[in-house]
Amino acid sequence: MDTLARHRVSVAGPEDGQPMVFAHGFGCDQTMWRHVAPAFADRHLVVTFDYIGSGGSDLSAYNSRKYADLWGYAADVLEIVRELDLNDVVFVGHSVSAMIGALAVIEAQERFDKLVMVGPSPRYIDDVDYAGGFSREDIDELLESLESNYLGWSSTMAPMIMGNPERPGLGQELTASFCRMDPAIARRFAMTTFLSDNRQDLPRIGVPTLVLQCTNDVIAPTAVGAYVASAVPDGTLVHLAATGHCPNLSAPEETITAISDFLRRRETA
Amino acid sequence: MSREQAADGFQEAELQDDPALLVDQAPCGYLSTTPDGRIVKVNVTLCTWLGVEAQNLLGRHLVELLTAGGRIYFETHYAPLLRMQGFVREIALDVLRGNGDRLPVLLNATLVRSPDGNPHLVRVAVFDATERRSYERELVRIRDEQEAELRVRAEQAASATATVSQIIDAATSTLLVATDPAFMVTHFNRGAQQLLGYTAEEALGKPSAWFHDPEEAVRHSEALGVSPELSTLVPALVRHGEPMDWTLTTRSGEPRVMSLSFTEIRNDDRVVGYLCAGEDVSDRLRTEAAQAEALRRELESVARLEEADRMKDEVVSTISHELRTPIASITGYSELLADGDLGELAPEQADAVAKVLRNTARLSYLVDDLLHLDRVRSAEVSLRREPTDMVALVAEAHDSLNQLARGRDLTLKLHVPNSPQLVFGDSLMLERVVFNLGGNAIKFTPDGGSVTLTVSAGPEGCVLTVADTGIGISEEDQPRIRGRFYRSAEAYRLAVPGSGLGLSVVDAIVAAHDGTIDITSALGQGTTVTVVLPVYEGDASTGERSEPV
Repeated sequence: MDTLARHRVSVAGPEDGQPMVFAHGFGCDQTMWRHVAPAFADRHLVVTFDYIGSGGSDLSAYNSRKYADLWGYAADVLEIVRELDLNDVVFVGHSVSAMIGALAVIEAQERFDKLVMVGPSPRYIDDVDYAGGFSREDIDELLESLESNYLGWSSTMAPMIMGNPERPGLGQELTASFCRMDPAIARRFAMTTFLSDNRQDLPRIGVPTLVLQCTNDVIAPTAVGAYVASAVPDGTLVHLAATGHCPNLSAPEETITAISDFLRRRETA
Repeated sequence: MSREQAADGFQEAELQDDPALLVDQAPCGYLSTTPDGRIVKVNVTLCTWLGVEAQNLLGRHLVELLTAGGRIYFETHYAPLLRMQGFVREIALDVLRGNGDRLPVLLNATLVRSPDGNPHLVRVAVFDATERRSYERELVRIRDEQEAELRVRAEQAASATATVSQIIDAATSTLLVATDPAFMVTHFNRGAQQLLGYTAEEALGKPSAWFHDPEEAVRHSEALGVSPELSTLVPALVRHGEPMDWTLTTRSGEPRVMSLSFTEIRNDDRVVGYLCAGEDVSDRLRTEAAQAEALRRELESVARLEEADRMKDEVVSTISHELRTPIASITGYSELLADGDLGELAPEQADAVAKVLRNTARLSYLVDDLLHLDRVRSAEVSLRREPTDMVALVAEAHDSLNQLARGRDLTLKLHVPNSPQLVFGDSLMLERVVFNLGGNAIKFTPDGGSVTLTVSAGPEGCVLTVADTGIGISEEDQPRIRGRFYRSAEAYRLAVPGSGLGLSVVDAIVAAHDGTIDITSALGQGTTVTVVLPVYEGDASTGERSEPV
């Protein structure tokens, strides 16, 4: 299976438009961008995809060693970018993807023009002189929640249901659902996401960066957004009125406007 | 109104519930929130469960009721799903009670849109999942325990398998091939790899029939009387138990003969596969074939030699017969000359004729020996057997031998019993035995010695002994002296005349009479020949043998 199929990459918009790559965060898949990405398809080549282990990706390509840190995910982003031969890319990453995008930019800056970080956090766990918002115990609670919610979807059950030839409809029905994830992969993705510390990488982001900070975001608190914007050399912080952690779903218009403004302002600058 | 109708009326009246009470006191919690999660309504049941007054909940955000970890799950799963699907089902979370305790719940939520299509309200049902969660935790704990145990067992099994594999692989000269019940190769040891030339990777998963000609299966199935399909043939081979030779084909196409035996691999009572063990017997078979060929050639040459021997006998026999007539003629005319019938002879002439006669007698004796030998050897029927008294026979022979020893300084002794010793035999032949043995004794005993003839009754039969004090026979010569024309080294050395036929004639005659012959001798110590003949137990006058009782 090739790179694009493996990540269920979908491409829309004019081929000569500046590429915009929208990357989903922990929990769901590229459908998170369905109210935002199309708004840019008139002028941009819009690319969305699923990380391995999420959505419609090829689960068999999951490699727990590769994805033990965010660099593994960043490598996949670059593989997609190179496969499509994208240059001058605007990378829009939600949640953990904001940091994955940052690593991709650090790795291959020549391919990127701008970075948009939606609800980013370089480290979720509190540290000395740093408030990520969570303790290690909180992350254990998250893993417990994942377990409780996936009990009917255990690693042993999933393949059996998916591969049940007598009930093909069932597998389709489940895979068609949003935010379905193999529980073992979800657990590892959660650990990689919430136990990472990429604060040291922020100063190495060499492209203009927009940080979109929501109101009352329990996952990425306001202080964290400010920390990111100030640590990135060319960072711009924009506060959204949208509450929660998913402005791409709860306030798509405001999100689109903020990103558009950033792109336009940079173009005129 | 019937009784049933009255009852129905009563039940219907009773079932009318106040909708407000139903919501407030439902057996599950209800709450409504704004689209971004702010609580706008909560029922009594939920307030009771949480131990919090309704007014302390209104206006608060739903995530504030959750644990920190739960909040992440809420934001990354519940909220996006609700937005995208318009509902969520059975989201498992813990909500915090007023006292800080956790209440495990399942959340079902529906997004209500306003007429313009914008999200307006979220209705949430909260189910107490305390028991369910504890069972789930228990299930998870048991699952984890079993998975851990399974891992340990798998490791143990893997290590046991590795050990067995090592043992099997250590047998580098023995072929060990395991198959599953469908005869697909599951193990192909190093011995099999070396003998057949395939790597384990090439062989694994292949049908076992891959390694032999189908004719081989047919051949063995016919031998065992079963059909040639492996499913019947292999169990038959297992029952057969004995190794059978199979011609297998190596990777390079060379046929190799393997001696294979088959056993079942059993797990409890189930056959889970077959094990085939074998060794390469190609070399052994080649050696055996070479040995058989060598033996065949040897037998052939023996047969050729026997044929040559037989022809030689025939030649000797013919010549002997042909010699008798001229010898008789020479003897006759010589006797006429000696007797003076053809005129008086001068003393020199008489001496010469006497020499002719003596040597003619020797020649005649030699020819007789040859003919006797031929007769006894060619057929027993030519023996004229009758009851014969060995005492009388030996006494007569003793006289003849005395003649032979005339002019020699030898003592010829005779020991015989008073009573006759009867044997059933050809008296002429038996005379020959005594004469040949006595003649030999006289010939090989230097002057001053003695020759003793003895007849006695022994436990085995009638015993004839001829003992001398002569030159003896070396140990080396003893095994060969019975052969025809064989003469001992001493006989040659001392230039004792003789044909080398005497003893072989004796041997043949004694054997024809079912007797035995034994020779004890030492060089320079003399020789004793003992002949034992079966005693005749019939009536001497009628010549009939009595049957043994």
